[in-house]
Amino acid sequence: MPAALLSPPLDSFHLERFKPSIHRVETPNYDERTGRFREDFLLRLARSTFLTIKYGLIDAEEALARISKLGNDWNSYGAEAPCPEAIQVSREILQELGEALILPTTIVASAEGGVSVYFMNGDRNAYVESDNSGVQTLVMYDQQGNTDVLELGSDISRAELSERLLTYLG
Amino acid sequence: MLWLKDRHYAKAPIKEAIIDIQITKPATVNLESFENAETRLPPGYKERTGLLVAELQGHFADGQFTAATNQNEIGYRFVGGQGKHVVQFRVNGFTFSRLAPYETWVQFRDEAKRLWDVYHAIVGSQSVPRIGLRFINQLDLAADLRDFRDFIRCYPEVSSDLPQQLAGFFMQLQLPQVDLGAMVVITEAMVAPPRPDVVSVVLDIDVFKEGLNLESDEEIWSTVETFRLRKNLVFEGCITNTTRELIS
Repeated sequence: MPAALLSPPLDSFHLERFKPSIHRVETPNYDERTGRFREDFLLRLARSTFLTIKYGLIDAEEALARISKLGNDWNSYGAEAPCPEAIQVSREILQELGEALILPTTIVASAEGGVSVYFMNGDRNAYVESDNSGVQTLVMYDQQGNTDVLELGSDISRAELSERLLTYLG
Repeated sequence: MLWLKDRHYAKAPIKEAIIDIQITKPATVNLESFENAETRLPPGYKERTGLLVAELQGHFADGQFTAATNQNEIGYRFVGGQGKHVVQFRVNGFTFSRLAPYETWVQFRDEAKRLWDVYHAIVGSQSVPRIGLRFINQLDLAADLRDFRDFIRCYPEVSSDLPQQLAGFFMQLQLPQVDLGAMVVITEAMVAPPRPDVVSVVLDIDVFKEGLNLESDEEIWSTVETFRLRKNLVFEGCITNTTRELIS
């Protein structure tokens, strides 16, 4: 089986955030300088595992901050807003996974009430859901409909989470 | 200059040490060349992708900025050394990272050599046009510090006519090293601190040389050794005695 490839499926740097400043540039020379700087910056980030994780966790923190501002019925279907405890547990899990060099693909509020942190690799996906009742669950599923659900703290410990994710996602 | 070679800080703030060696991409090397690389690596190295980002390709044209992930995969990433070693095998080069805790130069360099030998055996003898040695430090300073200049000597100066409170900064200096024909890029930035009682500054020192045409391993590693001394000189030039005491 060939080794997995380096390229990720998503724009993990969220380059959208550079748009406002770049749209304000006024001269071709400034454009060129900005472009070169951006390319150099991205290359330096990509070459550094430490910075990749560091900036990835900053982005994750921003996502959690956005989610924490949601109110009840945020999805128009009556979903509960994620509670501060669920946000904090997700934050801790993200930090722990960051130390194992794992970054999330996306972070969303859960329709069941809580936070879901997603990890995707090819046709295999996983998410860690921290619900408002204080339960954390690891769900692993693939495109063929195979699903495995493990509760953290009873089926596996938090310390085993990163290894489980790596084993499943490769 | 011997002190530069032997100086060792017990609490060195090194978060990542990187050796980057680019090759002139030969027509015979492609992604398939690395498919069985894991079996040739030292025990403990496993492929790791999808969970870490790789290179992006951005385009800026007509005032519009767009970016997309690189659709042309360029290589593989492997993690070993209990998660402290990361090596990238790319069609255009090799990058080895040692993450914190950094141990010693000899340990770092020897592991890089060991992995380079594997990479070299896969791609064959190729010309090396660029070598880089980069150390990324993170200084965690007490949040109630009086002035950054008590700790860092290379620092953006805010005019005394302006308020001196600083919520963040990002600074990059490109310093030609005429004697080596190389370049030093110092990048400093305030980053998210690990604890609320500290402020963190990344001090990223990259010594590199382009336009090379090295072919022997001896030339490559001798260049890396030279860069190490320069990197140490730059680091010492960026910190104060107070910082030396903090990390000793």
